[in-house]
Amino acid sequence: MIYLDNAATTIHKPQEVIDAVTAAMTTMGNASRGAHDGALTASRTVYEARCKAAKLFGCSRPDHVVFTCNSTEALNIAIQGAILPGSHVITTDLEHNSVLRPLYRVQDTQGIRLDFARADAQGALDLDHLSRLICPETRAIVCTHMSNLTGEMVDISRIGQLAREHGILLIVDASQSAGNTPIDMEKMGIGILCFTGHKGLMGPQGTGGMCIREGVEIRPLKEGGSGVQSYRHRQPEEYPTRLEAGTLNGHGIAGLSAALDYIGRTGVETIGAKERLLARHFYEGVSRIDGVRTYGHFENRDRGPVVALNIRDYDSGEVSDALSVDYDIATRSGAHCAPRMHQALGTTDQGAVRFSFSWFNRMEEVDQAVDAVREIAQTAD
Amino acid sequence: MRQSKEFLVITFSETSDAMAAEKLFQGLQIPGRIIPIPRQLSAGCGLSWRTEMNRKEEARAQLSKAGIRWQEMAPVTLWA
Repeated sequence: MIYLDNAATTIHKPQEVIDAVTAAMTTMGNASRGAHDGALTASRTVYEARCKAAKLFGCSRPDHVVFTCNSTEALNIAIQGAILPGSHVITTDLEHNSVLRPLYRVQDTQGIRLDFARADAQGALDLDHLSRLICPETRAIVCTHMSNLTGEMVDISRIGQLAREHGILLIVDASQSAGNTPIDMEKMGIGILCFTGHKGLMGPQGTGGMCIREGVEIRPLKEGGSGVQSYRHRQPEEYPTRLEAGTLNGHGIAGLSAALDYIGRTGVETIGAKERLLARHFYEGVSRIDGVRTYGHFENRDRGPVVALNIRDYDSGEVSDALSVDYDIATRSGAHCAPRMHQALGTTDQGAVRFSFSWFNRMEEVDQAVDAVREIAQTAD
Repeated sequence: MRQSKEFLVITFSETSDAMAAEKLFQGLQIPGRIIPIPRQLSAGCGLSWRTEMNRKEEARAQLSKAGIRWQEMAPVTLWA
């Protein structure tokens, strides 16, 4: 199989990630639950993973790295726990449902007033529009770093500057950018950075987390066992325990920790450059094919390693299915949990076929994918 | 019969603080190890660092220098 659905999850993981999970499953007890060797092995592993994530994302304190199951859980904790009822919140048309649905929830239940910064017909965020939406009641901006549908990048540093100037909390969804794009949350003005472990970070599914800038207060979404301060009625106030009720996915975090080592050794810039080169090569190949339409501004701007396209008016699901069945190429079709982005692109009915690239893809695979798209475009009617 | 002696015990409210302290002390070759918090210091649960009594000022200074939070630092008689 040629796997080009890496924006959904990376299927090829570094061998050391697999080895770390296996080792953890035979040696690790429960982190933060006891002082015997097994428990301490788990506690040390989790702590080291916090240190590595803090370093990768420019978070000043490892104890402000909170582990979750995925970005969605991190975003739910951030949106439901850091935004006060009655606030004005700005988000964008580029967002995934992991941002949109928690926001719609607090809009319905907590009287949050929500505004959307618009995307143009190619899916680029209108930053001027976003800045015009800021008002004295604005308390938070929730924004993706990279569109999961088109790979469009958002200038987080510029939004972070706006957030700083107006005293607004900036919550960033780094689901697609973590691992392939440098992120320094302190320099970029990010208050809460939400990430997943199983995409660009190349760790196991069921891992993710959030990095919290010192001083940002988040109410816990869950309360329960913590392994510390057991006689308190409520969840301990200190991070990370405040937001980590219940047993962590220690085995997965061990794998994520190994993945962070791999990325640290290889370099985010190196990984990002290769993935972008593959995406660019694919774009240049398919954009010459009659009947193929790609989505996004491709000239003179940084894009993530994602290319979304359609062939004429063909159903994106049929195209993706043909790629899978006839060519053994894995892609994703449909709405990609990004409803407002499809509205901006005018593709709500057709959806789009998304090709997304990883560090482990090869240029020959990209060429084969281009050939497959060409053949489908030339042979279907 | 188990012998007892007095140790310095440093308690932490957060496991991540205990892990940071362990890493710090091991790096500085300050002897000791992580133990469950003795009941004299906390009725809850959690981790603490047990070291020799004469390491108190050094431990305090290094924790402060590294910015690691700790709760209590007290002598406790424990099984040696």
